[in-house]
Formats: sequence, structure tokens, C-alpha cells
Amino acid sequence: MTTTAPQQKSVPGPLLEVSGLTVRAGSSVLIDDISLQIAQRERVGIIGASGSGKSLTCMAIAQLLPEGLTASGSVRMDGEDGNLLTTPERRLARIRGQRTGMVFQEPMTALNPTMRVGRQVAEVLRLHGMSAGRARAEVQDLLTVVGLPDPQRIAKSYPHQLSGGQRQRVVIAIAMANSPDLLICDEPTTALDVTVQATVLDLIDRRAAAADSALLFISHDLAVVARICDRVLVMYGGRIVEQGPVTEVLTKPQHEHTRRLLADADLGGEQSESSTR
Amino acid sequence: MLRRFGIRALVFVVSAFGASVLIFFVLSILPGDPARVALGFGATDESVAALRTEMGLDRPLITQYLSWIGGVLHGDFGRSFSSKLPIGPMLFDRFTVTLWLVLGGVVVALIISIPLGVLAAVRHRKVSGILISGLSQVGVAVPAFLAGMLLIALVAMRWKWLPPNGYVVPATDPGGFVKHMILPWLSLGLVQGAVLTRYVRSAVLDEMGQDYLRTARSKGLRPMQALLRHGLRNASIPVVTVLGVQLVTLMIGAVVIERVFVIPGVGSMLTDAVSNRDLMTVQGIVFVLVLFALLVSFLVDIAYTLIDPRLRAK
Repeated sequence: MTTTAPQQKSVPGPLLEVSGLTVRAGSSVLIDDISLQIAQRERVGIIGASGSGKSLTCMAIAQLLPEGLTASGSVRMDGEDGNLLTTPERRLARIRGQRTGMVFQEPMTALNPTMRVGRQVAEVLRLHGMSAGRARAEVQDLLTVVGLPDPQRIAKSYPHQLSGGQRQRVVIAIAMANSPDLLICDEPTTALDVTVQATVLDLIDRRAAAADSALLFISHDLAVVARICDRVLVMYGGRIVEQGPVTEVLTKPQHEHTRRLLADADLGGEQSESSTR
Repeated sequence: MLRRFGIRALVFVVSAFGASVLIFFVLSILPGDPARVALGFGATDESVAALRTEMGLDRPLITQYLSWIGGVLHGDFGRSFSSKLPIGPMLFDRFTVTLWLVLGGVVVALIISIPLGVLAAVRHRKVSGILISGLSQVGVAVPAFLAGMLLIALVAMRWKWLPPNGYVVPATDPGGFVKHMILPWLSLGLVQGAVLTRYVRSAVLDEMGQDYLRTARSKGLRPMQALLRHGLRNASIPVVTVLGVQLVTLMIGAVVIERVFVIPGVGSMLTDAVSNRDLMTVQGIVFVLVLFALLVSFLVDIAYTLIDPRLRAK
């Protein structure tokens, strides 16, 4: 399901190029020598069971690893000089929120509980150079676009006054505010009610298409990845064990672990409950 | 939100009433007749009885209580058993002095503990962070009066930078007031600051692992920016609790500091009244201290509501 927009850009290199990425906690290796590429506008999924290292991989790419974990290898982004893993925080901060956006698994805790939603959305605009007045107007638009009813009221609300699905929409509004080149989604629908999952997924799909963003999409839910992504990587024990176009990997799995994931998920019905949990 | 304040205000009034009853009756049960103490052992029974009538001690307890609390509501705390002077004005003066002392101490404590606590949390794996934690641990163990005596010995006696003791009314000589208060403020503030630093550190550490800080960084905030803009307000919730407790403890702890620096606060008034068996004065002071404690907990509750929107009614 590639959105076939007219290819105007002169064939650029990959948007993101990760090579030899290794994450360690002290002496134990959590992510072992991962390499991957994401082209402009490409949608790449990472699947794997809990503990396979898929979330850590995306945190390492975003340079937001929890304390105590160290990453080595190289992460390069089109248009940015050098290895992002060794780039000073000051420069990374300019990239984050501007060229990359992130949506996290847990919408209940991803927003600051003591700050109004409108200000939290406005902040990402203001940080990357928008004036206060324009940001205020833009917040209304952003909240409308992510399908929140009565955006004026929502902007004045605190996170605890919104439902999980609404909060995740706010997080998406923040992540997509500056139309990033890369949207990183870490299990964005896992914590949501089944009824809301589909609409939030739809929203990510539409927003990424509208902004021409590439997507790095992490999930343990194969049906979700099949719907959203062009290409998929299968992770197991901190390594990539298989990769290829979604249709190929999901119909003709090569690796034993992929087969097991498929068997667990039972892609037959569209309503595949998250049985891997 | 108004309802919550209303309830808290009601709790305040009811607790204050309960405290007044408790203080009055407990003190009246204590053995020893104030009239006899005032007159000395040689006094005749008639003169003691006459004084009891004059002091109103021969009336039923309920009547005595009502006339006392009725006066207190108008700021009249009755007359001292020993000096025969009205208690209210003196209590007001002394309490103001102690309040200056305690508030100054808290300001010093906050100025020290917030930056140091945040730093200790941010650098908790580095030498500097561990050093701050260690120093604050030592500070916790130092009693305020010892800090006060050390400060007097060094700053006042050896270097002669500041007066070693005494008190100047701020209205007449603001400069002199500050000069005299700096050392007492430091003695209270350094020790309380050490205690508070530990709480700030652990509160900030708790927030540092939170998801919303990761979100803040994913928006393009540097780690320290994210912490200051988003983390500090959340971290302040547990710190406010401790601060409330500290304010009350400081009020009591000020008694010792007042002794060390010869400050005419409520502490020396209380100890004098106790040794003179001046129950009327003791009763007034204790009641005002209880009111202060109740007021602090009321304010702490309001502060919670201001800081944390989740506590406000929908």
C-alpha cells in the first residue's frame, strides 16, 4: 500500500541508514549488530515477540535509550552530517521533533500530567521556530486533523481529562506537527482499546501519507504491520532474523521464529487479538 | 475545586476548635494552683482565694473556657498570671519575630536544596552527584544549634562580619534586621536545606524515568530543558508535602535557635511561661502554634491543587 505520489525528488539516498547498531547494558548485549535502511517515504515494520529488542532498536535510533544502556555502530540520516550516535545533544535536539517524530506505546503516561494539552502541542512548534501566535492557531488545526472533537476544549484540557485514544491522537499531533521525514511508532496501538486501535492506525496511515513521512513501525501485531508497512524486519533475541516485503515475509516465512509468530497470530481473521502477549 | 477548599476550610475550623478544647482542659487538669504559685508559699488561704476570684479561676471550667476562647476570637488572650500584662500584644510581637526567623530559614533551605537536589539527581551516577548526596547526608546529622554556634564562632567572633546575636525590629532598621538575622537564617536553612536536598533529589530521580520526559525530548528538548520545563513541577508535589512538615518542625526547632542567637521569639516566651507556671500564657502560645500548623497544612493542600490538575474537580 505505497501511496504513489508523483516522484519529484531526484533519486535521493536512503533517509535513514543504520549499520552495525549494537546496544549494551554493561557487558550484556541487548541488540546485536543490526543494520537497516529506510528510503524516503518508505514504511518499514519491525515485528518480534516481547523482549526481542524491537523497542530498544527504535529508541537507539532516536537516541532516547534509557539510562545505563549504550549504543554503538552508526545511524546516519539524509541531510545530517556524521553519525547520529556521536552527535552532540544540542544538534540532536534540533532534529528531534523537526525531522523525526515519535509515537509511544503508553498514551496514558506519554504526556505531562500537569500541563495543558494545547501547550504541549504548541511546544514542539515553538521549539522549532514558530511564533507563539501562529503556534496557537496551528494547535487548533493539528488537533482537528487528528480527529479530536472540539479542539478548543481539548487544547485547554489536561491529559487526565482525555481518554487513552484521545491522548494517543494528541501524541500523534505532536509527532506530526512539523511534518517530519521519519515517524517512529513504538507499538502505538497496543495499549488502546480494540475498538480504538483501528481508527488510530488509520490516522497514522493518513497523516504519514499526507506529510510524505517515512515510517518505522514497531509492533508485535502482524495484522497491523501487514496493513501499514511495505517492508518488514523480524527480530529475535536482539538480531534481525529475516526481512523482506511484507507480503513475502508473511506468506513465505523462511525463519522458524517468523513461522512461529505467524502461527501465533493467525492472520486468517482480520480480528486477530494480540495473542502473543 | 471550591468545594474542596470549602471542605478544607471546614476541617481547619473544626480542628482549631478541637485543639482549643484539648489545650484548655489538659492544662486545667495539671496539678498546681496558679494563684498559689503567683502568691508564693507563704500566702494565706484567703488571699489565694481572693486572687482566684480575681483571675476568674473559681468559675466552672466551661465558663472559663468560653470566656477564654471568646476573647481569643477577638485577639484577646487574657492576662498573664505572673506579670498581669495582657498576653495578646506580646504574643503577637514574639510570634512575628519567630515567623521571620522560620520563613527566612525556609527561603535559605529552598535556595540551597532545589538546585543541589536537581543536580544530585541529574548527576546521580557521577562523582559530583554522589558528593552532593553525601554532603547532604552529613548536613542532616548536624543539629541546627551546632551549626548556629559554629557560624557565630567563625563569622561573628573570628571574622567579625556579622553581629553574634540580638534582634532589631525590621520596621525601625531594615538593614540591621537583616544583618542580625543572616546567621540564624543560615543555621536553620543549612540544616533544613540538607534534609530537603535529599527529598528534591529523590523526587526528581522519580520523574526522570517517566515517559512524558521522553516525549518532551522527542519534541526536541535537551535533557536538562525537558527536566526543568516538565519534570520540576511534577517533582514538586512530594517536596511540598515535606516542606509543610518542615515549616512546623522549624517553628518548634526555632526555640533553640532563638536561645543561641538571643532572639526574642515565641520560643523564649514559651519556656519562660512554662517555668513560671503561667498557664494562661502557655495556653495562648500553644494554641497559636497549633493554628499555625493547621494553617500550613491548609496551605499545603491548596498548593497541591494548584500544582496538580488531577486533584481539581472535573
